[in-house]
Amino acid sequence: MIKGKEQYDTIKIPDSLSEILSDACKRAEHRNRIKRIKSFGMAAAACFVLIVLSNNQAVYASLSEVPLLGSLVQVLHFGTGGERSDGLTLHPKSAEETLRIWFDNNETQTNSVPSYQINFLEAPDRIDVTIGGIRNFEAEEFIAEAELLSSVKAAYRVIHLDDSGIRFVLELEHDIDYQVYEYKDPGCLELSFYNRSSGESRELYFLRSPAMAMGEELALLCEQYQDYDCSIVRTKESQFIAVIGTFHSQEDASSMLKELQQENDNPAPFQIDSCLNDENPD
Amino acid sequence: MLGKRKLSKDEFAEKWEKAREKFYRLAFCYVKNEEDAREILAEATFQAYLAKDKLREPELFDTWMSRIIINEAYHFLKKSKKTLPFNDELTEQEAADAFKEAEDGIDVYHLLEIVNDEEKTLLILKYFEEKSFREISQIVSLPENTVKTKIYRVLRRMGMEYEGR
Repeated sequence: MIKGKEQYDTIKIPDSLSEILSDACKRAEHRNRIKRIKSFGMAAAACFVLIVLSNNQAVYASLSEVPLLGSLVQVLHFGTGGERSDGLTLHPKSAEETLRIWFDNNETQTNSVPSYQINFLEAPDRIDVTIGGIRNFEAEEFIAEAELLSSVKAAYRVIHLDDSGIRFVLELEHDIDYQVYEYKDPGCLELSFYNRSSGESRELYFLRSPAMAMGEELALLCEQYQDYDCSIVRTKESQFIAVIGTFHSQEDASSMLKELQQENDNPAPFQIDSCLNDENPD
Repeated sequence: MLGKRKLSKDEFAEKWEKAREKFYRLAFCYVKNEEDAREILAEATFQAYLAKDKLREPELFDTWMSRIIINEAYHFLKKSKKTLPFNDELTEQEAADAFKEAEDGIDVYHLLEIVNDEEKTLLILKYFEEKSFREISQIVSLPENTVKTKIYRVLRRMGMEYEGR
């Protein structure tokens, strides 16, 4: 017998619920207005460029290939989606605090997004993205495109041992949040960034490996501890470390380290460290 | 997508107002307090309004909005670290409490506090929102059979006979 529905049905509904709607609409309208103003400026600049280059066939050909957005499949902050595929090429394009990623297979645009996983992590705030089925990936082009966005502090590729997929990290600027949209027909992954109300910085504890260059050693370490949601992050000195967890207290981090040492035969190369939630570790 | 109608501001407001209590309860179940539930709903509404032109089938507004609220709730819990899902197994004490309750029938509302976020979502949608497996699969973007299996698994973990529809 299942109980509890009664408690659910009698959850007290606040009187002022409609304020949530009006405040959210006002906030969204304000944001759209700012976007329109920015777009107008960009459109004026684009018109000028088009007039100057209108006789250039190569420019026309490249513009005609800009794809349109298809049907929305899902909206998420973190999680998984997409369909299993292989041999794809990835094309990033950033504009107006949005990074869109398209895919093609032998120069034919795909109808769906390949399988992907998105995680949100702190210290610093960052998005960790893994996309499967990608065989052609120009990391430098991708990083340059992502770093055009003022919301993205830094972008870097993380070595991924499965060579049919790629993994990258987007570090976010202070008080930036994001939303991920998955589209089909054609397949597109859209990461949209926006400001959110300012939160107080707080100290977070985590387990970390020694700093090292990005490479196979780090990727192996990360894979070895993947059951602990091990991830890779850049340090202040632009080295990289493997990290496990973020905790509000040193005690919680100690318990995790103890558990890690108990469950693994070899001594885990991790130690407790801390930093503010919006900064990179030392 | 010719022939698809965009949702106007008034239509968005009308649909939201119509289902607002349901949306609030959904958000509340993740945090069990008014302040946090309001924050989740506010952020989800903001995100939904920004994306309303992308909703191609306005009749699916409730499903679409529920999905956004669930994602916002996950995000909120992760950011505020109100849950640390390193291990989704119950502790001995929690399991003992849950089994004790199961003697008089399982209390899903209480169960929400001890299951992981995904299981929480499935239980809310199934037993409180009374959605069909098909509707749940649309909201959480999982195959219908996977939804059934996951609900079955959490109930079985509680030592209960499955009461499927």
